[in-house]
Amino acid sequence: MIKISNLSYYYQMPHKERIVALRDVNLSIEKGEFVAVLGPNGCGKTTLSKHLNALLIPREGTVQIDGLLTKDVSNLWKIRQKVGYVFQNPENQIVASLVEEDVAFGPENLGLDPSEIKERIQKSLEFVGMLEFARWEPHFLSAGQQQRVAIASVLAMEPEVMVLDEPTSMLDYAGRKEVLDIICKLNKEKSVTVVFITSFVEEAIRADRAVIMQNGKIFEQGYPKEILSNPTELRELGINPLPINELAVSLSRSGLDISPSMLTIQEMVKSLCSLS
Amino acid sequence: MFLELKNVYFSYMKGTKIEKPVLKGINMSVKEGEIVGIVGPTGSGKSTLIQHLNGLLQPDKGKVYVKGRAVGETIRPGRIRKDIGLVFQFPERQFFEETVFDEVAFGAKNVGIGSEELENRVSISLSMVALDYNRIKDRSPFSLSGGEMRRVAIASVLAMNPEVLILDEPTSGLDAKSREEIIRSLKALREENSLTVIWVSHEMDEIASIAERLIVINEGEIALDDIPEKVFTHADDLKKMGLGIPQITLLMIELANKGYKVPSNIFNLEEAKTVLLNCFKS
Repeated sequence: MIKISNLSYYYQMPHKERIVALRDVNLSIEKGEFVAVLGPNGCGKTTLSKHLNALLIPREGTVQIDGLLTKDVSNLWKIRQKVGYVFQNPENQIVASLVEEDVAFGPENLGLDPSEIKERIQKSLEFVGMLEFARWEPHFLSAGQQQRVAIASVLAMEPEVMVLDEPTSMLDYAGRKEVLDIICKLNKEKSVTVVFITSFVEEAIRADRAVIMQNGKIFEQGYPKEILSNPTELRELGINPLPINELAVSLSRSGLDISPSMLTIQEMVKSLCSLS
Repeated sequence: MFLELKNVYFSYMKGTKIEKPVLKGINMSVKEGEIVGIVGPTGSGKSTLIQHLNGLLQPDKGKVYVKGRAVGETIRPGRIRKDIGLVFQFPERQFFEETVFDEVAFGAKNVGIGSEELENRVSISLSMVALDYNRIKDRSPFSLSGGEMRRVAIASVLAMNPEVLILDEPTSGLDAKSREEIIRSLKALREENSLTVIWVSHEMDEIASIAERLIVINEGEIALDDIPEKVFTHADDLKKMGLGIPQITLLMIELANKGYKVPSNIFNLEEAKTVLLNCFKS
């Protein structure tokens, strides 16, 4: 679905200064996959995500979406219909003064039939659990609810790929859980390919694959359990390991017969109980 | 008592049809040198509360005391702002100067600090948040990383030489590395300068590791006010409020529910390790 080959990108600053954001990145993402991209601020993860719907065009290398080169301007609209993008802050994305109008914005621009638009509004809002707020003004909603509306607005375009750039970073605990559950549901029930940018390990463990970025390059990729369970390495990269994982490592070092790579409370409870 | 709120009530848009009561009878106090965490879900009144602590808002009913003096009666609200520094949420959004030096100096300059002393204060404040004065002073504040910007914003409040530092979600939107930088600088700051720190957050794992005392606000009232160990014995109440609970605490609760004899209010990794080794290593 997505093929990134030898992608490099730099931001051009005044006085001919260049800030290199991506260095020779190669990454393929299959249709229906849920990929989490992690890394500290400034590692290039947002720059990478903006290449996926041609918000940025490679300085070197190529990005292909379903075989379409993002470099080719004539592909632009097709690519943007295939790839939906959810920004970090829903306030940057919500354009209308009523929730349902915001969700209608995309489908209207696709030139769809009014009856089809109505149906899509209904379905998308229902999917994110916000149907009862259809006639609310977005600024009266909580941040988590606003982010769910932003997701519904993108969903109404029926994209094949959804790219989300740290969609939970402005949210509190309850809001975070709301949004994360929706994203998983999107992937599992609608088979939308998901590229999820985050700086929290906790949010990446539900993905099929995790990709860790550092300094504009892909540092490591693999199953979340495999690459997100080394607290020392994560800390060095500037990523906070999960407390449960740190505890597992520390207990296993002290001679307790449990796996040091556990990431969830359930796993930990299960293996502790099996000891006694 | 250093800071004290007695029976404080406050409503937004008071006297209108859409009047919204936000604080409903708050009683709390903070001792000198204490580090207090204020937690609560979004919309619980945390930010409104801290604006009462430095005189930006004044109660509809009840009183705020700073070192025994009633704000608005025996001391002007404007006067206490020098002693009680408030770092807003996303403070870097208020940057407007061309250099880091000017940004940090702005507040102190406005209260009439002379140029020599000013340079001294800016340099000390930047070093307090672990930034190198010479390397950073001439840079544009907008060219810094997220974590650096946040620390410059904190330094600009420190340059006023406050006795109390109030921070509204000082790590939100930052990655792990920048978060740790902020937490480390603030811990050091407090130990070396005996500052009183009030830290507002909804990150339970984070605040549990920093604060000596937690005040939990829910729907404009104080729900809990105790040391973290005691606060986490109310895990069910915290969950109902939509607050997260530290992972380690959740693990202990699960194990206790299964009949293991472990205390269910631990949030610290080392403590958990000791308890679990005792319980499971036979």
